Amino acid sequence: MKYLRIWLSCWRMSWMESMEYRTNFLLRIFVEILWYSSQLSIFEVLYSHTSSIAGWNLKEVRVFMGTLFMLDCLWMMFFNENFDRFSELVRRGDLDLLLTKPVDSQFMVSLRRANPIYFFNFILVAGYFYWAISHLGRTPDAAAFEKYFLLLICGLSVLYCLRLFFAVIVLVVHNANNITYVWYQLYRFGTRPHSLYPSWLRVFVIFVLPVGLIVSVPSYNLLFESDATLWISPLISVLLFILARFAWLGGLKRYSSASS
Amino acid sequence: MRKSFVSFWRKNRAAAKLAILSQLEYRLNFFIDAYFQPLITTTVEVTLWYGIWSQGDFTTLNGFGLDSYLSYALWATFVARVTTNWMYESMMAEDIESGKINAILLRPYSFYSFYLSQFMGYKTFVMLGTLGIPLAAAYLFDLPVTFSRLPLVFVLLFFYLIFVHTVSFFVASFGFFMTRVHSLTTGKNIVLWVLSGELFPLDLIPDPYRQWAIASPFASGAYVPVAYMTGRVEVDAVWRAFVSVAVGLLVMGGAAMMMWSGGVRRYAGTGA
Repeated sequence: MKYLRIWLSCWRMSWMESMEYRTNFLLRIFVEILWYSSQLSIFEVLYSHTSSIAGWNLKEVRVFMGTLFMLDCLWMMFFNENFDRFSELVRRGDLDLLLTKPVDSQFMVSLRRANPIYFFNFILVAGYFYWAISHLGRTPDAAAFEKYFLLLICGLSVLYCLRLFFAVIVLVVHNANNITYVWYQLYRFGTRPHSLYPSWLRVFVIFVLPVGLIVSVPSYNLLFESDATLWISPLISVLLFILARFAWLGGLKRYSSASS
Repeated sequence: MRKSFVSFWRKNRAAAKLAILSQLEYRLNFFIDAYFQPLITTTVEVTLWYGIWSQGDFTTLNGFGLDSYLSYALWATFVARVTTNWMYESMMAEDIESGKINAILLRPYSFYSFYLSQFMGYKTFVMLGTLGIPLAAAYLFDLPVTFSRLPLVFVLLFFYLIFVHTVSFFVASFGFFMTRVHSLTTGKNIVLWVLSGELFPLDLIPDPYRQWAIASPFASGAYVPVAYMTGRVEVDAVWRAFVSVAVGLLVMGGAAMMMWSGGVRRYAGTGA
């Protein structure tokens, strides 16, 4: 309850801060729409030359993209701001202040700031997802949706853990703003259905750098017959969560205040 | 006349040198930015196209084979990295918003030139420093590239960089009228990501949008130079690109001048 209260206070503060600059608020919504459009454009253009890639037709890819956008919105709303500013937090020594607070440091670092702008975007992309599902030509059954939502939660958890690993690197080397950009590049492997990749790369995005579990596996299990990923995803997400916790605590031990 | 040119050259050279030195200050950051990141981006892009190709039910796409797309992905990533402007646009906007611009306004040196020299200096340094990556990859994997076409490509890229800087100057000038312009920079770069042809070759777009996209000056940010190098288009497309960028420069230059003078008139000297 204590943590929920703290989180709600942080959310309120973030909301007020976002509303401070109204034009910027609206512009950011518009910019996100541009990002969604650009992501969609590549598949819309590719499918104007072919009807199927790796067994996925355009309608199925639209469902995949809807999932990607929804998950991205959730990530951006609750976590992204914190991780994007993490390098600055370390470099300026502000992390020291957070470490002295009587709450869990990982909680504070991960959820201190929110981005309420994405609440509006979430409504928008959920609308797109609904449109994509209703134009699929077949409606997945309730069990498929149950699996989908469970795997989506696992996907969000995997995303969080992977991002935390990168934050731990910053904790150790201090000045590495560009580590964030490296993460974004690697994350791009997860923004395409994993069936598109050759088998060795599929193994890589499921087991080594499991970005394939974030969006692709939930979408696959919703649209097609479930495979082993239905069990692998929850297992890996739990394992990663434990590892991420250890990595964070280990990183803190090696952290020598950057401000002193 | 000669004296004024020498002084102009020295000032610009000093600004370019300043940009390179300040970027080299944090070596790890620079290494990641100039080498590691492009290497990863290139690997990701090439792998994505390879994946699409190996699992798709086609042998050619729009008349071009796998090699052509891999080569395109390789060079487009490299070229677009050079032609994208995040850092200097953000710095210009920050200077205007925070009032740091006062120091530059007092110098016998325009704000536009100060940042243009820095931008060109840094990008040239990065371009020459990282050219080895796509060259080595093209050689190793025997990808289609006509090396004799590289000089003309570089001339077009330098010309395009002036245009990109002018667009950035235009966007940063919004800082006089708005409190935060970071979203504009992000929005502009997303649009350029698609319109430059970095995301996918512009010739894949269905007509008539394809012709409009290729005719726009933004196509010189990746599509035209890369398509010319990899044999998708011939030299006449490059000449048309020069004309397109020149027209874009005139239009954007005029718009930027209007924004800037309007902004400076209302600027109170204490940050916008």
